[in-house]
Amino acid sequence: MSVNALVTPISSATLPNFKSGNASAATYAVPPAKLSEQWVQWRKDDPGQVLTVTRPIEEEAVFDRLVALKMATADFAVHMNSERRAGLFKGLEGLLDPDEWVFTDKMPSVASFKTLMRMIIHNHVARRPSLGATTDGKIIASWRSGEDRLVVEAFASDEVRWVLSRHVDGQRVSAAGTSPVAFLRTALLPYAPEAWFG
Amino acid sequence: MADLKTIADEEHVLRFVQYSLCEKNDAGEPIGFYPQAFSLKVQPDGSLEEYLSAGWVEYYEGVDHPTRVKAAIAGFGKRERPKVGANARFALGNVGRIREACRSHSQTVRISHEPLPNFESHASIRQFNSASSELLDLLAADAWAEMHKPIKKGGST
Repeated sequence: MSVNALVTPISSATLPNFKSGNASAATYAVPPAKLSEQWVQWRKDDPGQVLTVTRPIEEEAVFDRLVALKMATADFAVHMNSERRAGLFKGLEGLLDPDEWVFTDKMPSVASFKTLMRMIIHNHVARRPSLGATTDGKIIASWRSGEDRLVVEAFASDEVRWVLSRHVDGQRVSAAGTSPVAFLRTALLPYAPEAWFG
Repeated sequence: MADLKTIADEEHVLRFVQYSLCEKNDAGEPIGFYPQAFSLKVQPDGSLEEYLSAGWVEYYEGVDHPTRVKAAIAGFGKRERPKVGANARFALGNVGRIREACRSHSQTVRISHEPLPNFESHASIRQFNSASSELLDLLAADAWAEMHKPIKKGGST
């Protein structure tokens, strides 16, 4: 066996970035938009190499949260293949894009995200959700099937609030409720949740 | 509160929806609005916003509807916050349909022109209770659902 065969290929896209040793952005109590820190980042075009970048503090806080949410998926790694994880990461990266994020909003909490992950696993959700966030830090997930849509808001306490609309014979039917994550599919049974969850 | 001018049913209001409150397709492009985009926000002191904010499209007179919509979108740019990201969207709704949607959930809302400093076309939706997820979903998916892009630098949407 050659030495190369022992090396596991690693994609730079799956590696977290890390700081160069400065204090965490989360330790700053004021929003100093003008300040910046040096960061070390994996080079995407040259795996294994790093480069140094500068980010404003606000962006660092968002980036820290993105990393925390990605790391939280490790708790559920056994339930996710790499394709599913990559899709989820893509959704999180879009959601916490510093160019789009409104910095006055509360960032989505790890606890809320874990509730969503447990909801997906407990309910055998096969389809990738669209991800969003409330202004007070809760993760939103939605699934669409034609005009029909299910929107779920994940609380930190393993509970979700849901609202759905279905179109039957040209009529719009809607329903809403809250449910522990383990029983969501059961709560949605009258509305044929397989259209959204697969 | 300043004098409020009631906005007529046939007119339109425009609400800014940040990217995090937009529904996306697999490519990350906005395809709709989440119900929470029409929810009253919790203020730093824990209280709820008094009203839903929007821009009044017909404030801009003497031009056709598409030009008014563009002018109303530009009107948001004068506010200090929130910033308007390239993937954020604006939700356009007919005032009569919004009132009708609210009435279907037993709410009689007051939709008025209520100018603010740096936001002359500002409109308010008062007497609005955002506790009903089904009403918010009806607004997001039907009554207040027409999607418009922000104006890029140089003037195009």
